[in-house]
Amino acid sequence: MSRAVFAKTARDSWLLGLAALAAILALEAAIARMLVTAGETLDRWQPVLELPLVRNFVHLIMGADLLGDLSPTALATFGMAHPLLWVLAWTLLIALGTGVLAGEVDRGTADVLLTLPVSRASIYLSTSAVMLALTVLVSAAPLAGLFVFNRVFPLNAPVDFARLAPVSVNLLALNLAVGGLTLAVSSACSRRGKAVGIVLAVLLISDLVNLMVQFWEAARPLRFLGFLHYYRPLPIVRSGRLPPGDLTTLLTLAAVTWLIGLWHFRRRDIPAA
Amino acid sequence: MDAIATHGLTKQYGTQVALRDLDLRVPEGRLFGFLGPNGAGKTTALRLMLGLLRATHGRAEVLGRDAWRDGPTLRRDVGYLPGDVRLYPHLTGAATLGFFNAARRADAGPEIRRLTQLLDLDVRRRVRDYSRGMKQKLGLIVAMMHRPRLLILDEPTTSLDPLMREALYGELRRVVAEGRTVLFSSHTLSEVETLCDDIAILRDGRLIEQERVEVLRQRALRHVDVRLGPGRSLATPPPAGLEISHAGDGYLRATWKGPVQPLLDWLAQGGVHDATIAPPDLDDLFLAYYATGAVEQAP
Repeated sequence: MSRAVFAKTARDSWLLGLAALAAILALEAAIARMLVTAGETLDRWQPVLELPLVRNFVHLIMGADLLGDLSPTALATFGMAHPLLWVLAWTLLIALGTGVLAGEVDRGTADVLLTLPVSRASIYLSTSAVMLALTVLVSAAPLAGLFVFNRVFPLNAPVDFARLAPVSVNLLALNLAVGGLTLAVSSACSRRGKAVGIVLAVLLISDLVNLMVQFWEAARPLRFLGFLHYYRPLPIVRSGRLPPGDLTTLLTLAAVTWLIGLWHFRRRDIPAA
Repeated sequence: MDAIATHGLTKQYGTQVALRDLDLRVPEGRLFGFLGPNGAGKTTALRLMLGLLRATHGRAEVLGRDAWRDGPTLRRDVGYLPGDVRLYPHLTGAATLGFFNAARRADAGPEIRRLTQLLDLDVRRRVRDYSRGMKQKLGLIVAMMHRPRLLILDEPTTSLDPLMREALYGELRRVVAEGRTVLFSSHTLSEVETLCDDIAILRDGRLIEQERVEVLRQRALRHVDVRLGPGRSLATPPPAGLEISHAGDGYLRATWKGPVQPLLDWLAQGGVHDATIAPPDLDDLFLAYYATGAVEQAP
């Protein structure tokens, strides 16, 4: 790994990383505040949660039916499953992953970067190390935010954070898979816009598959294609255990895509900008 | 030893051949001009030598190492200026040089200061605020700061003012005097002619000539203008090598190829009032190469 490339990538991305973390913490503050209100007026919310559309949507993001277990810990799980969390984390990962590999080629700076006495693998590793650090931070931030803001806006009963903690591990695996995919696509593209477009398209299609599965029984065989099929926070909270199958799938996807990216980046042509 | 040796180097994009069977040898310690019209394959060849592109066939050896396989090791001793230099716009000139110095693990501080002074560059400003010429100067410093054994420059004088061009020429001559090698890609014929010891010419992805400048000069045409004294005429026939384009009214305009002595002897036989024999014009020779790719060999 090149320390200089790592330091430069970290310097270039800290502001974006900080902004994503701040946004996630702000979101958790809003969710913690909202949960207090929701907990106090649960009777009024119950019929809404029973609506098929809402029920399916909650099932989509939480990985299970919320009804029947409206404990404070189950409600707090919403703070680990809000779609905006994925938007923020994935925006950061896509911006970083495409900015360094495809972005360098696109801007023409790859010409000077890749003629340094630094191997392409080293540049890829340096970028990956920065991405990994930020992935850990954005994956841990929701739990940390919930923990802090639960003190500021306490629910009527204590939240069991020991049961929420494994969800962060599942979220980390999910984000690593998205990061790996981003690096694989970025390493193969010479235009940053194209790389961003491909990753967004894959994520959008994956989420659409998950959505379809919730509303259309015939689409159920396709559910394995959706990223969110492997991120089900509520069952983890209820069982208190990590799902080995989901984790294995996400981490394998992360490792395979990361390796494909490395393999391709080492071999590819770098065209003039 | 050759600083660069390519063996049947070929780069193909689908059915399009960008570079075909390039066998080029750049001897160490020379200022080597790499000429060719736009799209001739110069940049492709340079990118193959730097490991930015992978050859379809053949190989490139740079400083005795395989350009693709041993890229990171050999690039310690190579400096490169791309034709269209792009650097990080948000960094200052000083931060840019600091980054490249750190990435090379070089201790190039004194050399950076010397080159910055030589090229008169303000490194406190951000690259995004630099003019094109300033970016070019920064790119040159990045390429030269670690005193590489081989300097590959793609159109290095683009955007430089005449004063800076002269400063760069002086610096490149100094580099070569130290035994280091410069590969200088350009399509400005005059600067290659005045600066380089050897020249290679590429056209349509093929190497069509590689020769010492001195040898090419002997093959080049000289423009000859002769004014005869009143009522005088030149002996006939004219010597081989003289191509007369105008003769009459006591005036002769022609081109001459080869050593000048036979021409001088012929002129001395006639009543010449005034004569001008211009230095060999490599521009004409190069343009002929560019246009046809084949030039009749000089005697």
